[in-house]
Amino acid sequence: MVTSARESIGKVNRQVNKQRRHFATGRALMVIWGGIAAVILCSFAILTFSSANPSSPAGRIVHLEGEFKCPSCIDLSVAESSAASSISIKTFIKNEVAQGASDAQIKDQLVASYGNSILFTPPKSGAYLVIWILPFGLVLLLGYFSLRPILSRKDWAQSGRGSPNDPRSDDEPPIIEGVSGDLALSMIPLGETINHLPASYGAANHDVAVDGAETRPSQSLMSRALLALLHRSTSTSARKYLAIFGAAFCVAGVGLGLYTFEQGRSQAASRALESRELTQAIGYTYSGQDVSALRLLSLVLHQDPYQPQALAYQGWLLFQAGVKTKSPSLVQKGEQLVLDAIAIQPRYPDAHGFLAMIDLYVYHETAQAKKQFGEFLADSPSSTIRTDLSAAYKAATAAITAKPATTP
Amino acid sequence: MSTSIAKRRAGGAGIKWFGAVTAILLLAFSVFVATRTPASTAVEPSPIVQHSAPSISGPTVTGGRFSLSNYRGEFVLVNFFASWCASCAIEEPQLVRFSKSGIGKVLAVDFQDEDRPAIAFLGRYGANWPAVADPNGQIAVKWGVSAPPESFLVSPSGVVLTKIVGPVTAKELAILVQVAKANGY
Amino acid sequence: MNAEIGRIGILISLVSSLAAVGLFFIALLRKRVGVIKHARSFALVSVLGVAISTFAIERALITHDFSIAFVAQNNSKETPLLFSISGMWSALQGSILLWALILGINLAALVFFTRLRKLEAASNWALLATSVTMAFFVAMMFGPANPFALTQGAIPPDGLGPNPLLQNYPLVAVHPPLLYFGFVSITIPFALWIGDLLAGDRSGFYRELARRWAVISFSSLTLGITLGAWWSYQVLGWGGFWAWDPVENAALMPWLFLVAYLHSAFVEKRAGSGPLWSYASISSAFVFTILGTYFTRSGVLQSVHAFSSSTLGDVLISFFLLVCLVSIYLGVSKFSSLTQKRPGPLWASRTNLIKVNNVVFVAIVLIVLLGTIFPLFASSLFGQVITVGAPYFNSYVAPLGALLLVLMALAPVVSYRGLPWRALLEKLTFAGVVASVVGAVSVALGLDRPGLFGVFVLAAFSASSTLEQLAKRSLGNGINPFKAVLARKNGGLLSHLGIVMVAIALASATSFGHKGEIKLYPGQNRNFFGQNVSYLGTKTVVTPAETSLVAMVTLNGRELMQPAISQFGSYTQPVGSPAVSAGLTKDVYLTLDQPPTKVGGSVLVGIIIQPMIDWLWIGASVIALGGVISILGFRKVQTKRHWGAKAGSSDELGDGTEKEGQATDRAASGTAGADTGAGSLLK
Repeated sequence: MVTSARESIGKVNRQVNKQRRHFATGRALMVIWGGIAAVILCSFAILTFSSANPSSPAGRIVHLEGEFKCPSCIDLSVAESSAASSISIKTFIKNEVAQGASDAQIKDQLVASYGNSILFTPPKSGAYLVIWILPFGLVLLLGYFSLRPILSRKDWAQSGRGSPNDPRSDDEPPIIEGVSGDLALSMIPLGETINHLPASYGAANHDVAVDGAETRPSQSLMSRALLALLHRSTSTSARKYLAIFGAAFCVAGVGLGLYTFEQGRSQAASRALESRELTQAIGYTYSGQDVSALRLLSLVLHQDPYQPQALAYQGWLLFQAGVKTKSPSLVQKGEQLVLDAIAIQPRYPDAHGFLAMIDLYVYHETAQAKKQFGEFLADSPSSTIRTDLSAAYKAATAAITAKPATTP
Repeated sequence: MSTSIAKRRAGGAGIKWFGAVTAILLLAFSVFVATRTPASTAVEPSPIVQHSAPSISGPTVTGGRFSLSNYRGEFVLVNFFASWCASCAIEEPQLVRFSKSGIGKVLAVDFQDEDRPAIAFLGRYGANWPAVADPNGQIAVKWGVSAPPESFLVSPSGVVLTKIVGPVTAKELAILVQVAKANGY
Repeated sequence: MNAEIGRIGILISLVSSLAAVGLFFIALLRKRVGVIKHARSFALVSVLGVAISTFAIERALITHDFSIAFVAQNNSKETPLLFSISGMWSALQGSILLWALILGINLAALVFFTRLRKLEAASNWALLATSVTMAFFVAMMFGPANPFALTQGAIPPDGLGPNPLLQNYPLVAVHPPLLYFGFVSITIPFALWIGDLLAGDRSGFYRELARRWAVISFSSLTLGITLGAWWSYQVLGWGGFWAWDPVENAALMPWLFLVAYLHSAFVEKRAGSGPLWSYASISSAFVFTILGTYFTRSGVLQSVHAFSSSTLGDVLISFFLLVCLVSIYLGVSKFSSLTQKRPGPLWASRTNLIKVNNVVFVAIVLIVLLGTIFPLFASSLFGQVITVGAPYFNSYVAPLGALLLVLMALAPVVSYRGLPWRALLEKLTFAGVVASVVGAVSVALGLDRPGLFGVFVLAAFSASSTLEQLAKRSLGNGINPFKAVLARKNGGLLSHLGIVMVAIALASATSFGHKGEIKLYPGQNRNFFGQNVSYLGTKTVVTPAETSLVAMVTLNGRELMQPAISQFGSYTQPVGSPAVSAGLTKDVYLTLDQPPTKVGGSVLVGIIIQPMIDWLWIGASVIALGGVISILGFRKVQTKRHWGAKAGSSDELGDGTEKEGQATDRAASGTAGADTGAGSLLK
């Protein structure tokens, strides 16, 4: 029964194969694929011929809007954004296109006022070419190294086995190796004790004591080794380790517990809150609410008398109050606090900034102030404190202290 | 990237070198990245700084006309603001203080705003400086303004000295003017 | 109270994960079998600890316990329950806890799946690697990212509430956990590979388990990324869904490596080629999850998603480096066992095509990485702030994506050993005809963009080839077609169909859309590219958590849409909430760009028409579904031999996969590991 069915299937198979082969070698295939290629190429040709004129004003505007980054957003182009600045730039582009400016002129004008950061992609010139060329290099390199084995291969006919029409090639058994029958041994639950062990197992233990991945002993040997291990690692050994770890756990637990709770109650929380109060105080400082700022700063300093940021800002506020009320003692105290802050944290930029201003205000020492500004600029502003302001301030002072490029 | 795709069947030396080079590259990458400052602090210096100021000339919100060149000979703070901008309200008292100190003049540009709310906004703080209307933001584009408040300090000869992003304070401005004077502007 | 419970949980977790690490080391290096049981118990206890902490933080969030600083900053009394729960992952510290929780779930699952292989070195190495990762993340909460820090001073009467964008749409409750699950669960396949390599395991059990695990990671990461895109589309109001933001790229890169891994693991399983590619891609996937975490939490790159910059950066980059070095060391030292000399297949063989496919994936990853970190280099080397925006990524990734479409059409058709070119062409005739017809029709209908033409032709080619394969494999065998299509062996093909849908949706939505703004007075209506928009008026909606100004707009006279501007609690910055009318052919997306300045005044309504965009979500779901089906689909589908199979075609592949699927199922379930055997025992 079975054989006859198989035979008949085989017959049909052969017939079909003959047909197929005939079809494959025949012209039909060529004609069909030629047709497919012709249709696709023709459609493409028609498409490129009829495609919209890219230099129409509307098309140019759409294209240009996609080229510029929305200056007040992250990740968005002018086209995608409806922020006020994007609307301005959209209007600008529309006006310029209407007045007949070229794409390059529009781009140049925007770069002249915003800098390269207005471009949504890096310019395709100078050092920035790297990022435009590198992908090609990467693809080529990757392709070469990983496909070299394929490319350097001669032909399937010369490879050892498996002609392409060999149906066996896909019926290979799944590659799961190391099948063995010793599973019963390897599956013994840990808790069970093995009472009757042949004496030879103990001896085998020494043979397989150290074993790298490269030299694999035979399966049975390994199973024996396992049994031996099980035998050797009696419950006393396990208990010993458990006891050690249990004790370590308890000691570490108590110690760490005390530590965390202590930390939780005082430092960690105060650190989190301190930074919040500090930020708030600094905000007050810059918006002129000196009294609120001083109140918050003294709160922070009450918790940590050596908090450099709080010291610096308190000093700065006291100094200003001193100047306002013409009180030399307050001015001096303020200066001292700023100096303290620098002593505690020598590279705290804001403190250097304050000192620079004090030098200018009180002592009119431009050189000294410049030095302090230099310190201020050398250390990039701390990210936690009013990043926008300090960054702007950095840029501003850099621009002024630089020698004028075009002497007015 | 441990995608060690280089297959060198021949010997272990090649792959060892490959591994070592990759590891060193990764180490360098990690050190490089770890020593960078946070991206949010990166600010590109404005390209119009140290150049002569783009012109501001046009109708003010109150109906007159004003031009930046009217203030030639004095330090001018060109302040881009809008009535809908929250942090502009924070800096307004500081601008008033700066204006009263007589160190320099303030010229406001009302960015993408309507006249009526702008007048009310300025009136609330007693700001009496001219505010040129810029409803389409075309002046702002020339100055490279992203979002108000942004301010520019312009020298008496009409050179842009600094760009300040975010609210300004009167004290800072006074200091900046002093530094500028010390540098011979 | 909550803080104490939470801190105790973290403490328990930290100490017991460290204990597990130590005990596993002792078990492996000193060859103490007896301690394995305890090591595994400690690993489970560490999971329990994290669960306790999670319970504590959720309890604190739901009961608005503002004595915890994290709660005070990310919750308020007015926050609805759903967003209270999701508040756990709306800021840095809680997100690390979520990370640890999901890793814990995976760790527990690994303990379960290897319960009958306790004595094998490989399972212990894998558990050791996972426990190290667990200990690392728990230690971060113990130190710099403690979610249970107390509020200093007087406890505030009300908290700040979550970021407005995170309490604007319910997807925020689903997207991060799924994304994290995809992300974090990659740890396990990586750990299993470490175990497999270090122990020199020969059973194949760990590799198969790793593959299946990676499929689950792949599906949930796919869904997580898609839901993120959907959330962005529904909330951010610019009508887009993907901005090539550093954090988005950080999620994409491990996904790409996972896909490369799944393909190479399949080749390895079926054709027995060396597993170097599998190992390299799964370890890269894990390495990139750590790198992604670093990008998100260090603030080193400018991103809309970044958590406020924290001190975790250095710790994370060190861990990244450690993982890199370990995986490189392993790859180099076990290089000989990772490569295998086998007679090479034909040019047009599935083995080679998948290799090309993987090269393309790695190339995409490298390009995305380059674009992501280039601003850092530019600011350091040239001192300039520059942006690498979407056009850069699109211009490189799109052609590579098109190449993937071609590969997707070819690979399922050919066999592992390969086909002569002519046979290949013959098999692709149907697909070629469909592609040319689609090309001709789309030009006849007025398509005028070469890029789009390419996408449509290739998508048609790929889709028809895939559908033909699917039909050949499943239909006409006298089996229930539903069951036949949803068979395990078809999981990959279904995912491919999903990819085609995504490709078409991406191309259409970004090319045929219309975007504009309409100024409308109450009662007025205007047409915008065939959509009639009429504005009825505004209303103010006040809930405890938010105050919204809602514009009531009817679309085409039928559908009432309510784009709004909302202001949440103490946050001053208003947030727009778009209204979307979704449909299979197009979405109409409305935003309230400018509210009326006076009663009866005009509004500015932003309108975006996006064709086909829903197919993006549908396609992505199909991709994830394909993954799930490939391990949980119908199994016992008997396929008759197809006649055409004689020429070494793919039809037979189905059968082979089938048999193997069954064999490895048993292996993976661990109940009858007898046939696969325990290759490497504890040595």
